[in-house]
Amino acid sequence: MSEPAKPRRTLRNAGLALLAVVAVSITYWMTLPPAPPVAAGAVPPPAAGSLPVVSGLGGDFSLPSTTGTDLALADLRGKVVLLNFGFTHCPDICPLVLTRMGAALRELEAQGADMARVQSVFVTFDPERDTLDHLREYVAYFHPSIIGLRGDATQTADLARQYKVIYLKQDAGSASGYVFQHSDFIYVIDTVGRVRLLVGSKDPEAAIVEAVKRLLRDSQKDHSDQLAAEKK
Amino acid sequence: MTRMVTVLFALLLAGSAAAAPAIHLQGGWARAMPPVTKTTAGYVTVMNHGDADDVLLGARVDGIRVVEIHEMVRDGDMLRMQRRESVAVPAGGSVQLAPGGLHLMLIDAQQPLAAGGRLEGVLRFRDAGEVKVTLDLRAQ
Repeated sequence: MSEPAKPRRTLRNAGLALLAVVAVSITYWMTLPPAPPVAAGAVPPPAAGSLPVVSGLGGDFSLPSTTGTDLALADLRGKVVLLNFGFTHCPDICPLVLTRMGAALRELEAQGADMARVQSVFVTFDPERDTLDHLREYVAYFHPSIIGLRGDATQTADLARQYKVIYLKQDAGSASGYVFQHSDFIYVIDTVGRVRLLVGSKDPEAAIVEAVKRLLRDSQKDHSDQLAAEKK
Repeated sequence: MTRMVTVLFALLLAGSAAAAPAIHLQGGWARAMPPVTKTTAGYVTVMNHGDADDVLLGARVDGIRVVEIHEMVRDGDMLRMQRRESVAVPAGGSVQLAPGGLHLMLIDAQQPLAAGGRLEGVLRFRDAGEVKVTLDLRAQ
């Protein structure tokens, strides 16, 4: 009686094993990342739709730069500009933001973006301690293409007001001397000088990459929009 | 009498075994900086596997003139740095010193802060005393 039962049990065990394999496969398939929308090796296109213009802040400026001459935003027409503010004695947030900026630039390079049309700019609000020589070495560390700007106290305050950057000198009772409390946005500026996005330090690095790609793609439309606006 | 001594001894043992913090440090690193910069931040996860609370009081790192505990505090869009005299590490809990929050501020480095390097030091706790810490210098 027990003899014929054996093959049946074996069959049932085999069935259970098959079920288990199927279940595991389904689970595995469900955890797989979605297939990339483009063929392997191709540069993923930026998302459709354009970024809205951020109104109420931004505009042209001209400050002494680490290139040896003054740099104006108007000089960077035709380029997507990543503008960021900080100070080199900042231990935590500024280097964090600059590290992400450098990583985003490297990612854009890797994706084959036209880097001749992308410019990162770091403005110090500590001209007292950040000389241009100091600033040059500091920004180059995060990416060799980053330009540092250093205005005098008035120029710095004016530019900050223009971009609604908040910075306040603060005595934190630290042996490092004074620090600044400050906002930490990266301003993404289009090829005609308009602010299109503010990226916070908690936003992913991909947000910077994506914004730059979209603005490079939209540069012709932005240019004609700007011409039309100037005619009005 | 013998019993009393035994009880006393047991109590003593229990007393010394209980309420002991056991501090473990994990993943210590500091942000590498260009040679012009003498200030950076150090990060580490502090775990207290013991059954008593402890308090981080300070740190000392070889080749760094001053080490302070700081915390970044967000007020809306504004980030403010606040010096901390101590950081509680609850029994069975952990505290993360991580970018954008608590960090060791390493002031006036007497040695290069180049990536790939390593800083050695100690964290000072109220009860656990000095605990060795290694901070790997990383560009991140």
